[in-house]
Amino acid sequence: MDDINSKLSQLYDNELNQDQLDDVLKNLNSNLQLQKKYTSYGLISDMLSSSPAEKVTFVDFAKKVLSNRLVGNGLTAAATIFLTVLFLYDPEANRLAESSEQSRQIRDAVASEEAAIISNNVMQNEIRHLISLDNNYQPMSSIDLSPVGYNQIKGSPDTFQKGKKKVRIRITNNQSGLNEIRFFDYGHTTVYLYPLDDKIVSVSGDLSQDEVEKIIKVLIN
Amino acid sequence: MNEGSKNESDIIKKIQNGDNSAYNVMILKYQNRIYSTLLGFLKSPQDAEDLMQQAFVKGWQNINKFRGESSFYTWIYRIAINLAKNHLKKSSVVNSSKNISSEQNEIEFSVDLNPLHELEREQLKFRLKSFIAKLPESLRTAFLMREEEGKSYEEISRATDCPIGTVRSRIFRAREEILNFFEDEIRNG
Repeated sequence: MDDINSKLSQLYDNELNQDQLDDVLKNLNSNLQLQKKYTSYGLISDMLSSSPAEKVTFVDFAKKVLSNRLVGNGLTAAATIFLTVLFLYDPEANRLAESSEQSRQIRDAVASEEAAIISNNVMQNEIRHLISLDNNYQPMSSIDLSPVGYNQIKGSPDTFQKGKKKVRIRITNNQSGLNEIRFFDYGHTTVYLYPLDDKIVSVSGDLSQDEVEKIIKVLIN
Repeated sequence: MNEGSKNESDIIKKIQNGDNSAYNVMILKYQNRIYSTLLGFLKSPQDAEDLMQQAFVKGWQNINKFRGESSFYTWIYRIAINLAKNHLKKSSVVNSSKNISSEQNEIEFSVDLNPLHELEREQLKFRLKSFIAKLPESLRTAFLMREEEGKSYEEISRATDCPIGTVRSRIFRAREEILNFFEDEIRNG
């Protein structure tokens, strides 16, 4: 582990050899802790170099970064993506047709130029998958998450509950070609996309990656 | 500082060849600095965060126009500043009672600070620098030559008469120590 951390420090300093770069980038993009560390390197540099006029609420932002909410997959912070994701995944959110204000916001967001750019270019596979997900998911009636403490909610077959915590799970065909785990943050909701063979398992809720992986293991078994 | 191009030119090539994950690395590295800069202009954390995101999206959209004539940071910084200026212009149109130019806004922002946050920031910065000052001399020297003077590992190696591997190790160890300290400070408020 020290080796990858050391290489991360070299990457930050632009001192990696080209033959090491791919390996480090791969590790960095798949490991939340490394992403957090890399962001923190930037935070420290920023702290050492800043002038007073540039930092009004720096401490608040630092807290936010270090609590992981802004780390994620970088561009996933784009508001339009989050709005779309919130609608599609938030177990607490109303359905589109049931909330006129949310409906308007979602329509505007999805139709916006920024959303088009992002969906076409930045993370095309993931976004395409997210946007199509609402219509293409498979029924979840046969899934038993009781080994990890979640019970299916009656009348909402894709939603499971453990105490106050809710999680929404959907399985779709992997038509987008997604081949690595992706996650998106929106407030307290995180959406994970897990490619499994020709399927994608989408898990959303206020969950850590460890919790999601336990759920995925149950699904696999 | 940290704006060298050895790795970054390789990363930029990857991005220009369509590797989105490589762009993510650039965002992770520079988002704090861009955010801080925007916050200085806009004073609104929400606006700064939104424009930071827009700047990186715009940067991605135009990455093929990046020729490496400046560092990536300088390039994305300019994008962010232009977005901030446009944002301020729009704001000044909406708020006709404050019909002032973005240039005037910049000047006003630089003197109109929130004293509480500024005090917190300065205190944190002071504690951070105090901590760095207490690091073992070999770690501190290597780290500061890199961070504050922007020297390459090779330059530090020559200046300190140490093998590059030692320089690499010292900078890494210094970062680990500082990161632990920094996270404790932030966590404990």
